Amino acid sequence: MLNLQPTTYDQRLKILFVFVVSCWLLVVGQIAYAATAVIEIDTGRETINALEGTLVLPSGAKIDTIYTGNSAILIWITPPEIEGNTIKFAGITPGGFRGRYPVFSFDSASGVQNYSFKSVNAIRSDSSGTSVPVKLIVSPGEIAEDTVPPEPFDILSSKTPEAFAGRYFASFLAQDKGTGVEKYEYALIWILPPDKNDWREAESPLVLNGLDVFKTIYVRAADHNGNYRAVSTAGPYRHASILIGSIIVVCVLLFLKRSFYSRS
Amino acid sequence: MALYLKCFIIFGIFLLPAYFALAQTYSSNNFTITAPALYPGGYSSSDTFRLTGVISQFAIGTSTIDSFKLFPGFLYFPFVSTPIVTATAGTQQVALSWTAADASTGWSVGQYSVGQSTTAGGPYTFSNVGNVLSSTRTSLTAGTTYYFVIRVLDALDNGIATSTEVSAVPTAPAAPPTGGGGGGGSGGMQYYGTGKADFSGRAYPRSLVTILKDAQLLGTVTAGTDGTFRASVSSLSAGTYIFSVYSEDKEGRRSNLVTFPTSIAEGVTANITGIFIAPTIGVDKSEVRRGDDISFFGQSAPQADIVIAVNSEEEFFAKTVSDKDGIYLYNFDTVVLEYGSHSAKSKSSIGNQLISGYGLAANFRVGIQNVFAEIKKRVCSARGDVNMDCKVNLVDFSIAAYWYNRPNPPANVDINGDGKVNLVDFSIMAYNWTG
Repeated sequence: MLNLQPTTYDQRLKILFVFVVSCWLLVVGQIAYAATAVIEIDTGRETINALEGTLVLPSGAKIDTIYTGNSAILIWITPPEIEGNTIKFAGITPGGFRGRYPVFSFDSASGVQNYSFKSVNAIRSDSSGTSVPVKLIVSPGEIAEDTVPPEPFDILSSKTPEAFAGRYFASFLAQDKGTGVEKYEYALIWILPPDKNDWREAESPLVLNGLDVFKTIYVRAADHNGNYRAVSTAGPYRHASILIGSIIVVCVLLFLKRSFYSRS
Repeated sequence: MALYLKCFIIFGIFLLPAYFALAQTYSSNNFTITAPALYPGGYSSSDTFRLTGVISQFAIGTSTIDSFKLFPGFLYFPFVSTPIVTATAGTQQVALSWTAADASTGWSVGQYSVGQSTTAGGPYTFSNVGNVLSSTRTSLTAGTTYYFVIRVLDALDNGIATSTEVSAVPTAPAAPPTGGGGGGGSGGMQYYGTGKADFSGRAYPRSLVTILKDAQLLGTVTAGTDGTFRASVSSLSAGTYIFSVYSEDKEGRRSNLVTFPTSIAEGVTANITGIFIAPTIGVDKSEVRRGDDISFFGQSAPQADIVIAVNSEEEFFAKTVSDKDGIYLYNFDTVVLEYGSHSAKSKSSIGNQLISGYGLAANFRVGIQNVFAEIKKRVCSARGDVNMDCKVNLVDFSIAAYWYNRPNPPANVDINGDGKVNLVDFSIMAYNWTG
């Protein structure tokens, strides 16, 4: 029979030591795993309006979610996404900014150590296209609880012969001051508001096919905590379709009325 | 007699050049330089500092070894823009933030100083806060109106610009909450924040001022006859917003975007003052024969001092004043300009108190003939307006993003004409953004 009772003072001390060290490693491990890394930009004395770059992750880094809430970059050309052991990103900020601001953040087991940047390109906000030196910094931070949905936003529909095979498309962009916009969903509806089965994943721009141009376009933006903001706009020919529909209804009613009176 | 004649001739030979070499007196509204002595000199450099000659009376501003610049001569207008200041009241405190002051032509920003007073217009108690763009003033009395200004200091701590005054009323500590927290936005009701921002500043008389929030159109407001405008935005959530403001002059020329990141808190109003939209500028000739005049004109606030900077190998400056409608005109003699492409931009100041940044530039060529510029009643932003609807917004971005890193983009999408759509094209689009 195995006796687990420590017999001597030394053995008890050893067990206590192992227990304390195990607890310490567990706690430190949890802290390291929970560490939030914030990628910040310091433009020094330059005002920039466009930024692109690649963040090289340390080997074995595990990143679940990337947060873009409250970023200095307002419009992402390439939202930060993990590709192998890198995160590529590119975006613009109309009007530009100067100083130190967050770009994006993520939870990482690697803490804020051993990251590096490559192919960083920041463009001065003067329409000259001049690249200027900026500092990208990885610093510790935290993701606050987010109970606020994304900001109200607009849907703009347009078409051009230069893109999307000349078809109409809807552009939209939501900002979220907490965790950032995680995804968009859309619904194209004739009359009634959409129900939960009508929503489909969307990306801006959303190309409108066939009869979609006659429908109402609903778009909702959801943040990483599930809060969402829904907005809608009439499709490019929505009002025309309502007008034509109304004329048809009136004509049908007139026809029925005439038929009724002629019979009576 | 012959001896006297010889003496007279010798005396004349020595004195006549001295007479013609008498120094001229230079003066302007701001300075007078009496009898300066000019010594042609060499160049100065930074890495291994060397000053081989001096053109006297150049000492405007401060030179440092890190970013050494020497501006010799007289026709320089040291320039610094006044910061746009945001004051957000908190619990017995006020959070201040401001835009960076742009300094050039002899001035550089060393740090900022916060002036605080409980009386409108001061006197203020100043405290230096370093070269930062925010400061929180604590231990304030709840319910008392505090007035603040931000003073820009040069490297020697001389004040070179002071913002307009901004005020805020700190609040008392809130009672502890008794109910549960609010839900998210995932229900049927749409959530709206309770933060607010009040804007005030100067544009052009009776012009339409457009306000963007995070690059999206928020609304417009019409400036008064004195060019001042006020606007208010509500239903803001807590977070950092990038607000931008621009205007159009009476000829449809657009100003550049004035941008100010602003931190908003729930239930609190952020007061943003000192927005000063830079003047517009136009030229009467797209090409001017060297030696002929070219006219620079545009619109700013009424009775503002306008400084026009003409970019050449050497930068030239001219000064004029706008009229009661904010219109200005200056005829510039191009004899000093080299042949080739040039640009001109302008800024304005009111009583040396409120100073704008430089506005958008107007381009022209100095050549061998005069070609008059086409005067358009309304000028669409040529660069970045991909679908030519006179707006640069998300639609143009979508079209450009479609062609991002794709081969053979259309000419109107490839904004800088380098055969590809990349970050530079998006940067130009962002610069001309209208929302």
